[in-house]
Amino acid sequence: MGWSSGGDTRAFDEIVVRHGPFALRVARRLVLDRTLAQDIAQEAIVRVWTRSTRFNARRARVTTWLYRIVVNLCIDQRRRLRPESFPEGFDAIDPAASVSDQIEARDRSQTLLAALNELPARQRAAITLVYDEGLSGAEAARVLGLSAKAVERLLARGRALLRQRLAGAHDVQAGD
Amino acid sequence: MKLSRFKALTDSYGAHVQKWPEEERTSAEELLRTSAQARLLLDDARMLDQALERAGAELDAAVGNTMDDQAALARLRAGVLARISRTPTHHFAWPTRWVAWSPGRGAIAFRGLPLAVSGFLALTVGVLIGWLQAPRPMEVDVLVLLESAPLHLLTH
Repeated sequence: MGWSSGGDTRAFDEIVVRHGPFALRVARRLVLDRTLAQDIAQEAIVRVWTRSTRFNARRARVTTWLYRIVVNLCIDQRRRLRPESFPEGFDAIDPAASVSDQIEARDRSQTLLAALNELPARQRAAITLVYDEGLSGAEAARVLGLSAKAVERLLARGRALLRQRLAGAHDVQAGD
Repeated sequence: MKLSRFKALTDSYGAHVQKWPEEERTSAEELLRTSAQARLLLDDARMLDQALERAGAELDAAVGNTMDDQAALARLRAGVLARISRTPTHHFAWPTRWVAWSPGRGAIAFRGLPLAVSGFLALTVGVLIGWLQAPRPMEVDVLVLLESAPLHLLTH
C-alpha cells in the first residue's frame, strides 16, 4: 500500500491481482449483472488507489477496506435499481436426480434465489459476507461499519424472510 | 449458554458453529452435547444452510463466479490501470514548488518537509536554550548587591 500511495502503478497491479478476484465475486453475487459487477469492482479498486494515502494499515486490513467499498457500492446500486432478473442458466439441475426431485430442487433454488434478490440491500450483503465469503460476524461487522449485534440482527431477519418464502413455496406445491 | 441464546445464534449464523462468535463456541458446543433441543435447532438451521449453499453454487455458475476467471481479471487489471494512469500528479512553481498536488488522490504532500521542519526546530531550540541560559535581571541585581555591599551595611 505504501507503493500505491507513492504512485507506483506496477506495484498496485499486484494488489489488483491479489484482491481483484474477490471484489469481482462479491459484486457479482450482489448485483447479478456481470458488466455492472465488473464496473463496481473496478471503481472500488480505483478508490483504493486514490485514497491509499489515507489508509492506516495499523487500524485495518486492505481486504476489509476493499470489501467495505465493494459492498457499499453494491448496496447503493441495489437501492437505485429494481431487483435484477437472474441470468440465463441459473436454474441448472442435477441430471442424476429423478425428474420430480430435479423439479423440486430447481423450484426451491429458484424460490430461494428470488428471495435473496429481493432482500433489503444490507441483509443481502450480510448474508453474502458471512455465508458466501466465510467472514465471521465480527469481520462482516467491520466491513459493514456496524456492531456485531447489528450484523446478527441483519442475518436473523434475512434468514427469517428466506424461510418464509421457502415455506410459502412449499405450501403452494403441496396444494397443487 | 441458555437455549434462547443458542437459538438466536442459529437464527443468525445457521448451523456452522465455526461462524459463531468465538467467545461463545465452547459453551455452545457444551449445550449441544447435553441438550436434545439444541440439536434439533441445529438440524433445522442446517436445512436452510444446505438450501442456501445449493442456490449459491447455481448463482455462482450463472454469474461467472468460477474459480479461475482469468479473462475477467485481465479486464479488471486493464481497466484499473487505464484509470489510475490518467490520474496526474501536478507540481506547482515557486513558492509552491515544494508542494505536490494530486487531484485524483486528493492529497497534498510537501516535498523536502523534513529539511524545513528540521531547520525550524533547530532555530526554535536555539532561541529557547539562549533564553533559558541568559541570566535574569533580578538575580543579577541581588548577587551584585550581596557581593559588593560591605557587611556592616547589610546589618543596618
